[in-house]
Amino acid sequence: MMKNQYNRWSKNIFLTIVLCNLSACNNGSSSTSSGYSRVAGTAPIIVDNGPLPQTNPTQNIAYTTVTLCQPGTDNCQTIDHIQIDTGSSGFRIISSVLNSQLQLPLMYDSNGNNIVECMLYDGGYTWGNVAYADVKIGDEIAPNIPININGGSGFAIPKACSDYAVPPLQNTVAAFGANGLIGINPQLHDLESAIFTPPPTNGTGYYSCSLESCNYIILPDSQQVGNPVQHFAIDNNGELLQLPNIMNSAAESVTGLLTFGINTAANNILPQSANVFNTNAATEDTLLQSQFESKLYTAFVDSGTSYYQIPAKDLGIPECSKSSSGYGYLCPQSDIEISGVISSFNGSNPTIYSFMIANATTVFNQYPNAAAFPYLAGSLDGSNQVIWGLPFFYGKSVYLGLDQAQVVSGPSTPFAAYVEQ
Amino acid sequence: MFTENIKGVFIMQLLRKLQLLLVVLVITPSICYASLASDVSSINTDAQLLNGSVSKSSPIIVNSHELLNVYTINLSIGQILEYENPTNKQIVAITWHTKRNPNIRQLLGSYFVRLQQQPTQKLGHSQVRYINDDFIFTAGGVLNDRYAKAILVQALPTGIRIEDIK
Repeated sequence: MMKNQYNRWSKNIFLTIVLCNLSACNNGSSSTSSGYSRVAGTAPIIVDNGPLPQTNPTQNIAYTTVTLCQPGTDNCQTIDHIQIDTGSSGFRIISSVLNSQLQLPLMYDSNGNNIVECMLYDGGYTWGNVAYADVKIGDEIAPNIPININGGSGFAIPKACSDYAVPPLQNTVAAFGANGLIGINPQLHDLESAIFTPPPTNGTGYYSCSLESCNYIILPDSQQVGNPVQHFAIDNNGELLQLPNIMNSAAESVTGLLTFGINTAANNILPQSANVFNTNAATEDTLLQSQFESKLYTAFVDSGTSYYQIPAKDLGIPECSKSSSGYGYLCPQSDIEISGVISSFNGSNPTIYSFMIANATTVFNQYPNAAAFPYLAGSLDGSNQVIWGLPFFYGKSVYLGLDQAQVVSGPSTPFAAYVEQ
Repeated sequence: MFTENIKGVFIMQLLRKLQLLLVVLVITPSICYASLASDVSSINTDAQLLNGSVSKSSPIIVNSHELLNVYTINLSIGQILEYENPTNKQIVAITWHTKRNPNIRQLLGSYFVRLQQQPTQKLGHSQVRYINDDFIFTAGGVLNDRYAKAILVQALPTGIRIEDIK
């Protein structure tokens, strides 16, 4: 019963978004006023229990479907449950999900050694070959771009990677929580030389692997794994994520839309009413500023984080007990509304943003099969980082303008922007 | 005579190998030295291996008692703080805020192996935590901005709370 109800809601909202987009009714912008008659490529978003719902159900992870092809051929494979991550750049796939027929050419250096990537998240790490593929998402194609195949490289993980990594290794679908990941951060490449200064000599990055050893190397930006959107033919200056509001504290699944480009077509117009925040290209492309109770924090808009990460202790919101199902998240006595300020990295355009936080244990117990939780929050745990995670995306159109790109009649890039639906 | 010479050469070779082994055994502890749970002198080893410099910061004082000494290792990519219990000179907590992860195995030693072997709680791709009765580890961050906290809970002096470790 509940499932049908949720499905109906999410389908209705999804239909509304799609129709709205197709008719370009986005806050009054129309194809006529914007001058666009074409429609940009889109891909569906789903928030559900992930690729292994029975054994490893996931929560608050947004997925899409991507087709990988051997470059320039029709030898392709369509793969669902690819996580959409606005906090990283580049396409990554777990090796075990690839068909043996799909032979993607590997990247080698000038000595004929394999290029292998160590990717450090702070919730784990991956290790695997860099290869080339045509990456197709909806109608858009990023031809022959470097991607990262996690696992199955045949090269032992060097200590220069693993000693710097927070466990666990996430080279399996179960550990990774997805079949792959599409990183659509405004930062164009995952180890952008302008940002990663001084250049790393170990840990996250690229390794030249021979039969004897793997050694850290600096790969030019153009050869790095990066945001595929920059390689699309037209809609290559950013992306728009749309997820519907969730009526209750949870939903079994939610569907939305990922649209490519900003102000390039009738369905990706950035409205005048949008809250726009410039991000800091020099240090981190989703770096904003946020404020809670007069204290300033660095902030990120990150769909790859499943909760709002906020200064819970300063706000007097308790964490859930270790023995409870909500352990790791916040457990206020009842639903509470919190207000914070989001602004550009330099403090300009401060915008008050209010949101709800629910008791995670209560919600998890009440909705044991749900996948989408709009009121989920966790503590920033002594750090200085506020993260506007996936709950922030529900009920909004979130735009990300890519570094070094141009948005016609729009703000300078890189930027993050949102409109409440 | 010939046999005795061979025996002599063999013994000499054996002695050389034993000598080499001894040298390796003497060197190894300083290479593998890790700060957490070690003596305060290990901070200098950490700083050397991580290409950083050490300075002493303000101690954590509770009720006029200096309960924890705080040492800062300055790196080109950020800072590591190491907390010493002055009564037994043991490093009881380490935190860092860096652009990229430091050598975590170096800093955590046997506790790093524990992290590798036991399940951690993953909260998305940006935060992980391991909480046990004696050891707490939390880490988080995004592409170019990382932080972590490792605490030996039972080794903290009385009067120090986990929240005091910044």
